[in-house]
Amino acid sequence: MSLALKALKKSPWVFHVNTGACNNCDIEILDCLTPRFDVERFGVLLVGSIRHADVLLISGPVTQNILPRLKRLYEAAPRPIKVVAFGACGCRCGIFRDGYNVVGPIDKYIPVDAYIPGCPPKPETIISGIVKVLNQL
Amino acid sequence: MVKKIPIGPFHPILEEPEFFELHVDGERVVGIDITIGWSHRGIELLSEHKTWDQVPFLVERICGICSCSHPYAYVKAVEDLCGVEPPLRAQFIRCIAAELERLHSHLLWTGLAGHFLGYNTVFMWTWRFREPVLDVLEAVTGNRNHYAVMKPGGVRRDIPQEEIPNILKMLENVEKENMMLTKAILDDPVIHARTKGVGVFNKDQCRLYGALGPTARSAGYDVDDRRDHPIDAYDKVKFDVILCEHGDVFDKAVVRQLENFESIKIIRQCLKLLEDTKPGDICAEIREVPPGEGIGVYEAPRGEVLHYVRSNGGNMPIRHKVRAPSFNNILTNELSVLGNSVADAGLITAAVDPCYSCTERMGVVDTRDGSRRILTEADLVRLSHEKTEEIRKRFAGGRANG
Amino acid sequence: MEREEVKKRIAEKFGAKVRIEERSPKRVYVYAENEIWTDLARFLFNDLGARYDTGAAVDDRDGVEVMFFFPFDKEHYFVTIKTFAAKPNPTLNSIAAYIPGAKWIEREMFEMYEVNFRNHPDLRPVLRSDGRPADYYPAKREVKDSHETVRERDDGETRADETAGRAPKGKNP
Repeated sequence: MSLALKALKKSPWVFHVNTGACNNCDIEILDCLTPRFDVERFGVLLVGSIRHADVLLISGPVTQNILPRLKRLYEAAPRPIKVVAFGACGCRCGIFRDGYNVVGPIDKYIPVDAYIPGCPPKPETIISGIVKVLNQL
Repeated sequence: MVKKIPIGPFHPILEEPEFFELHVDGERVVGIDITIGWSHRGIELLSEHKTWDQVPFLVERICGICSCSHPYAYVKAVEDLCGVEPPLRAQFIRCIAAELERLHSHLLWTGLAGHFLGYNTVFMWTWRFREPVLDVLEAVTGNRNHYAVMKPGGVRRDIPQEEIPNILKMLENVEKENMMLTKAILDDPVIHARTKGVGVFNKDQCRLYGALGPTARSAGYDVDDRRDHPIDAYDKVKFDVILCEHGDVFDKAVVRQLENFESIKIIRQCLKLLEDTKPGDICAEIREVPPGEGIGVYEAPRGEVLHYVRSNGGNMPIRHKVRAPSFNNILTNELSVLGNSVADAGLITAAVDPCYSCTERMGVVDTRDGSRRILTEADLVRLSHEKTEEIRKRFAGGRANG
Repeated sequence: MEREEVKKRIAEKFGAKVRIEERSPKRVYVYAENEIWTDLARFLFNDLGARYDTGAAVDDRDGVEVMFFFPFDKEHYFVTIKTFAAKPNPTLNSIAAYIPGAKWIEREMFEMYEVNFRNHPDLRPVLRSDGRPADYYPAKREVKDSHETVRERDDGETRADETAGRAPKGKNP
């Protein structure tokens, strides 16, 4: 494994995008940073800019309004990037599948490397999912 | 091999409409344009294809943080239509679940506000305090969020007698922690300087804009549906409505902190009443929904949630109107950000506790020369932290000089 | 103000142009004619002391029924004003100039049902993106009946719970 990839595996930086989700998934992601679950001890950091991200964590069924932004975000992401579809909405649009403004799911527009199902996925599931993604490297 | 993507003076992804576009004169905000609709999933139209019993699962997912509020208002609307009252035990269980949600929601907001101000410890601690609340919710309803406890006519699950001592123990701990948190926030001079007089929205403006929840109560606009349109067990318990007078960000934080104590009070009373009710009926089955219409209101952590349903006798609603409190409250930002600095604008828009991450991005237009810049979340947080640091140094310098 | 008093004063002021229906002690519905609905709303809000809450619209076959909710908190009941805007081109007077809180709900009713509010300060869609055609009103009966709103199901062969944990689809460079 190259040095760059080794370093990546030690400390993945995650950028989170909400494409019209109910915010529950987003709250569970933030919950992972809090003292009980504390993903920072694994080196996982939530970053504020796509330019610094190694993992793109996307939640929500994609709404029509957000779609252009999602596409541009993926194009702007530095390579290598791992894309994780998060939550029942991220995987297959969940209960919003028939909504007129919902054009998802995410893997219709960008290739997804891992799916973390759940509504919302519990923090333990999230950590397990991120670890599985990293093991693919 | 890592490919480099050239990024110009304006980041390529930030050219579409923002949530908030601030118009500034130097550093003062003189106007704001608000764009919403990013999470518009067409839920009202989806409701028309779900049966009466399936709709609570749909409306739960309107917002994850207050996922008990929407089903609660919806089942009250259906019960208003049918003229049905749920059994006593169900009423208490509903109130307990609802007030537990209020507890965790207010603690969540305090944490996010703390993070934005630069007090990351507040963020970590409040979110840690909220974990036992979520544990109790999981033990009682089956899930940390999205509880699926509401059903037209009653509740889906009973609270077993054995769980009650655990809940009481948890409440005791949360009360002590909330007390510590409240004192820490109310006594900190830097927080006073950062939040007092910032984002003022007064009582008359509240009336004209239909502001709701802590946003309204912080300005002295006395509106609380738990007291004014009491449903289920709310007319069987005693609690106080917290009112402040200035309507600034500080008062909004105070209202939320003190409401936590009221929630704990209500849960304790409901648990006592639940213990005194003999176990049994938790749902008045509604076999048929007659033609008609119903209005259901419930005081969610953010304000009043209103659901309106209309039926033509079938097994699905023919019209379901949902109005979340943030729909009224976000519009109040039109006036409350004026005259404040850009560093405070993010805080003010977050103080109404909207149901989406509104501080994701803001556009700033300088009215003097028409130039435009985009501030990302990182920029807004950085600006806010810088301001807090500045104030902290000023206080420390003042103390050092005696 | 007490319910009976409110009903009396509305009947006195508007006479035959309104029809008051009390369905329960907590729910009063006032059916008002198109031209006077804003006067009734302002009467409730300014003179009788009701609180402005929100509004809703329902698409009946020949028009759009628009309603606004005005609760009387101290006395624990809701007064709902209902008015009817006939198709084609349903039009009503706007109340946003008097009650700024109504700005967004009127925009939403315009966006979903094509109800035109006269004298609204800024009548444009509030929820949907710019990508949608300008004349696409999702909640209108005609649009719904043509099944434009419910998308074709796109189930695909694998479901999320089957793919989670397995090798990823697609390639990321």
